[in-house]
Amino acid sequence: MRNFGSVLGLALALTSSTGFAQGVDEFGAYGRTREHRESGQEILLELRFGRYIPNVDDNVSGSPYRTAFGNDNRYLIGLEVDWQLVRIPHFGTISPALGWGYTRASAEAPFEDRDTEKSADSTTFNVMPFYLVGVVRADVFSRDFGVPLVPYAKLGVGHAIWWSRIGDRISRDESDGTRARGASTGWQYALGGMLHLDPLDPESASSADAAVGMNNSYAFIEWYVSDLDGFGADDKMQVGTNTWMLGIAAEF
Amino acid sequence: MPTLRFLLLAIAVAFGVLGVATPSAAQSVSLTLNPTTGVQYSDREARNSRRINELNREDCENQDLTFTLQTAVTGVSRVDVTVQAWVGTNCDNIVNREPQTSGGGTRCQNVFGDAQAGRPLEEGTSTRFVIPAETLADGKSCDNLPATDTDRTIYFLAFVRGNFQDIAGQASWGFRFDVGGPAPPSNISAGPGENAIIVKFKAPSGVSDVRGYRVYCEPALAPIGNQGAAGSSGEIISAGGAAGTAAAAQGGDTGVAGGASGGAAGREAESTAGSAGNAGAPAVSGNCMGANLIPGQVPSDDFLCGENNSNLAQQVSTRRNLINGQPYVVAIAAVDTSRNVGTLSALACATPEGVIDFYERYRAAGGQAGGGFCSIGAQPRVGAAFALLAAVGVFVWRRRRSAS
Repeated sequence: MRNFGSVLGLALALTSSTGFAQGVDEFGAYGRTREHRESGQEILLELRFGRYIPNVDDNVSGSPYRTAFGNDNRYLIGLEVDWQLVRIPHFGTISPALGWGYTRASAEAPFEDRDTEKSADSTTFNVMPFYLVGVVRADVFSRDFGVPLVPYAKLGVGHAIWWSRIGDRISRDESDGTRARGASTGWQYALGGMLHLDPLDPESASSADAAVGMNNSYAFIEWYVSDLDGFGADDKMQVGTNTWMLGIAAEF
Repeated sequence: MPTLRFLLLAIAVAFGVLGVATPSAAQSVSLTLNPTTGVQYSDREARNSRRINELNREDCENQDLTFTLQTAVTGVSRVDVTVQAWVGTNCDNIVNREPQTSGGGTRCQNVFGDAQAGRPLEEGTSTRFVIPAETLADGKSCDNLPATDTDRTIYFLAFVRGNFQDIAGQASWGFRFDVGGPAPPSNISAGPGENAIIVKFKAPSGVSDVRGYRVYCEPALAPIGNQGAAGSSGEIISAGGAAGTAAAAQGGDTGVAGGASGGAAGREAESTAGSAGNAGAPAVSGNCMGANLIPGQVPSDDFLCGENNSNLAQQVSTRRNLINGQPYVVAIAAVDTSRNVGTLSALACATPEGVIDFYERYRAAGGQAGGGFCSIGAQPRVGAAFALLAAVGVFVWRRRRSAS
């Protein structure tokens, strides 16, 4: 968080200095002006990364996930696309958004009769969450006040498919032949903030807009909570989590 | 003008000769061989989409090639045309098709039927030659071909009315054999998995033509010696502890028996029992043997039990059909891009055992999930939530459109 603060401070300083640099002298106008007109803005893309430990152990007795995979961190990579349908002047945007992610945990499986001794076989658990959420992004601070921060909130429905393998084969419960794959749905929400990066290099930002229509670029951090347990269904695995996500985003 | 008369006479004679020759020149035989569609293998499935003109060891030993020549004949009856098939270099030069003064052989090899008779053209517009791939190996058997072969050419030469001096038409097809497999991997180690063995290895050094690796397995010849059990404690006797009983090696002839050192301590003090002997050492790998897998030899597919089609692989798992508790001997062979299997690596042994994976733990902990991905129908509230979100989206979109 200290680094984040430093980056934020630097961004604010740059934004302020840009303001001071504007003016007119004997050679005419100098400094940054607001003459550049942005292209239309409809889409926001996010590239996401964060720790992801599915809360499998929450809905069962014992701790099968932690026992199998230990306490090591596992990470998720993901993408999100927002369709910025509504712009509210002097506030921000409201968008439906689709997201996708993938994470995987792997460990050596122990022997049946010697739980502390590892075999050469690997056991893996894969989770691929999708979600459909509504997103509210308040870019008023960045647009109207020159403060490069965009707080946002997301709320919607998540759906994750999961599967588990032993070696390269889908695992199964030998007692009834149930195959180790399934899907869980539930609610999810996120709260976060985006740091507007364009003030760090206004010239490049303008070029990117002119070349590919990229209006704004951001780095973001968000608190992400998903409760993917089939809305409390007994026969669904809890594969949601609560975690921090980091990433970069761009508006087009 | 005797000179002029002589010149005119000479021209007339020349035209006369050409006139005689004209019927002969009107004879033509055209052979055309499409390099891709004109060549077919008897077992296309085994070819695995490889380049059509590259033959590996399996092709050499098992495939028949069918060459379909498109033929066109003018000025001569088809029955008067015969076609011969030769393999070698410059076989359209008669010198290379004639017996050599030393040895009596020919530089080029006739690879279809009788070189003197040839094969008559078939009715219609095409003629087929079916030639075993091994025949194209230039008189050598597949075993005697060099590991890296030179390019070869098969020539189809047409002759008219037994005149084998003059080629009336020809077609050719270039190909090469690649029958040598890569060197075997090293540093083989085998570990037990559930109904499987996982074999780790180091890629053969200095070999770039590797497509993947195959693991071969068979039941071990003799059971692998398990670790010997610990010897029993020595008894307390007045003169000192007696030696502990040696535990017998179990499961094979290589497990070392548990130690019999139990009585030593007892000799020192009457009241103290000797400590238990140490456990015997586990089996040594030197006795890991199979009846059919022999390092350094090309393995039979009968013992293929797994593969990894990545040249970057560092381990291969067998298929999961091995028997838990049964000792197996395993070995690895590399496969090149022509699908030639190399020689076997050193052997390694392991015994598959049951393991506990994540999902078994989850089910044991009371988890009920699983069985398939298509489970959204069991959650009506989910459908309602998605429908609500979709409805809001459509409403907003329509408002936005009407506003603009």
